[in-house]
Amino acid sequence: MNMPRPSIDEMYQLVDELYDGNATSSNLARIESLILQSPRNLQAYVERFDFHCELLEQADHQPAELAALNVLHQSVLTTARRENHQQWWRGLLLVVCTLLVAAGMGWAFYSAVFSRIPVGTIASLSTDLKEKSSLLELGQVVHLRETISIRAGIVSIQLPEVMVDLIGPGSVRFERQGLSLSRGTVIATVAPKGIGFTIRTPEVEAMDLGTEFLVRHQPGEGSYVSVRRGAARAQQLDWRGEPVKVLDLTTSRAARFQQSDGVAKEVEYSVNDYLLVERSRGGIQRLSGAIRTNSGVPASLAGNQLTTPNHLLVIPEREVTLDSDLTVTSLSGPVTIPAGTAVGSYLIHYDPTFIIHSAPRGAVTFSGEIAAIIASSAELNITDPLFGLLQTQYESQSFRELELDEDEVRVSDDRKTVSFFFGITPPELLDEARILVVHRRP
Amino acid sequence: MMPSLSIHELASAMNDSGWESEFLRQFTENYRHLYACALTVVGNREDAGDVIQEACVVLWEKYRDGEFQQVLNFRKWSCGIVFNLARLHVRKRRRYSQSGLSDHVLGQIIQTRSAGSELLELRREILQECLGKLSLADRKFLVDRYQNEAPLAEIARRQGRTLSAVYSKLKRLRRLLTDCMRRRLGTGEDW
Repeated sequence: MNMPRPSIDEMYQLVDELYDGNATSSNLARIESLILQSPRNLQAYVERFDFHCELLEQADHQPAELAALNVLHQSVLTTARRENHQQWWRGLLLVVCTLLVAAGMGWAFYSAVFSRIPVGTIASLSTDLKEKSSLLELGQVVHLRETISIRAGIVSIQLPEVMVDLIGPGSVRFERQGLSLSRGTVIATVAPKGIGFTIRTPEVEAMDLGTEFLVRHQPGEGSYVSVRRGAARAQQLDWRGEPVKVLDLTTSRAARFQQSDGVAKEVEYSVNDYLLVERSRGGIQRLSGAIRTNSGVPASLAGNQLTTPNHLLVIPEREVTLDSDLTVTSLSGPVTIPAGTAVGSYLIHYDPTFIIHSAPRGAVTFSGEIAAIIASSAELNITDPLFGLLQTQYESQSFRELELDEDEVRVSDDRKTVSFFFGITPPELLDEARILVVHRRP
Repeated sequence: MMPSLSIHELASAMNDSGWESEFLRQFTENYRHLYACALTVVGNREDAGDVIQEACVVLWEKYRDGEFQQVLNFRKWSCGIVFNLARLHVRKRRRYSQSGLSDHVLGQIIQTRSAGSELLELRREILQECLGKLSLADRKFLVDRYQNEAPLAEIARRQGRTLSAVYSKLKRLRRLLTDCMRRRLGTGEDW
């Protein structure tokens, strides 16, 4: 049951008085009595002091490192005067003094010494992405304790051994062992070496025990954890952040957690939660340059229907396990993919609709090997029924194909990355290519 | 005399693998958190500053003597020491002024503060967003109050306003921020 707000408001007021130096002995007695009355009042006391600490930090223009060094300096000076016979105090004094001198010389030193710790990079952005504060870019480095907030769309962040997809609106903060989710949905795909990766919300701490899991949290609505493949351990947390119950979830299982009523129970698993990211990113590991994914299923990819003025679009299509050998005409000639291979198809779509001075460049890295790149309109039309999205209308005119005299396509030596530069010759500006990627070999 | 060292020498002093450098790095990384721990127990900035200075010396000595090697989590270990010193500080003050929170309640405060770090981090993020919604003048007012440790009477004198006007404004801004945080935490509106 929630505490009545007046008692919390009173606690806030009393803490404000205490912080401002205006508290009387009767104020302190009242704080004591409120804390003994309810754990929620105790929590309110701690929260309110933390509120003042945050305002203090926001008001303090000097970096935390400099503030800390000043305290060290004062402490060491005081103690060194008192115990000047001790060699080690003089040693510390030397280090602290020199650091303070360096601080005076400029912030460059500080940024070098106390550089923020990088934890990952932004690997993919969807076309409908709306950032909440700062702009996000492909390849941008994400640092420890950095918060990424989006209003809409999907941003994928590659951490060592973990791919994190944040679906907006949402906000995550990167921590040493994982991340904190204050709002939104996060899907984590974890490689074997990344086991132990943790996503934390106010109600639950979900730790990966292998492969792919999802955590969703909305303030006031609680948290939801589901496991698509592998296993995860979900610990329900109480209002202090202490674990109170553990649920081990395995493939295709889900649970809901609500702090206010103490609920922690298994609920029906839904694969739909994962489809948004699957449709947007599929087996794409990384994007670079002016290339984006698409959040939904496009109704039409015919000329002028889905325009991409500033970027290339990569659209995951269907994954097909071949019943028989498939021979396609790729950029490098005929390619035969053996029966039994699971092939993922990705359509590169570029339709600027008006003449621009320079076309964008971009590259896509897949988790599997590229089997073929189809660029002729005839071959695109032939493969549309096999690999194309069922609800999407495709262009069938010949201008959809790449013009090999002006469009550039390069595949990396490991056949996992393909880079594009599409020319722009009016009147028809649409360029498309289909990339077939091996998801599983027979 | 202040030693004169090049930037490179300074950088290497912090980057070498000695325990002194490691201590400085860990202390500076956790400084804000330690300060918050002290403030929550002692209740005012002046006493929190004293506790942190004292803690700095104690931590350094214990670190040098290898105590930290047995616990491994610097934040947890150093916070425990700060809490103990803060509690002693309150006891001393209580003896002098005959008022203050009891040991039992202080213990509860310390336990809650220790356990709730993640939740508090989330609240801080929301507070930052709410601060961004205040006008520049209101933010400047708060910076003036929180940065300078100046008594409200001094701020009122500098701003040419009455003490009660300044006090009311401070109260109003805190209220605005509190309401904004409640909305964000509760219904998720305004996104």
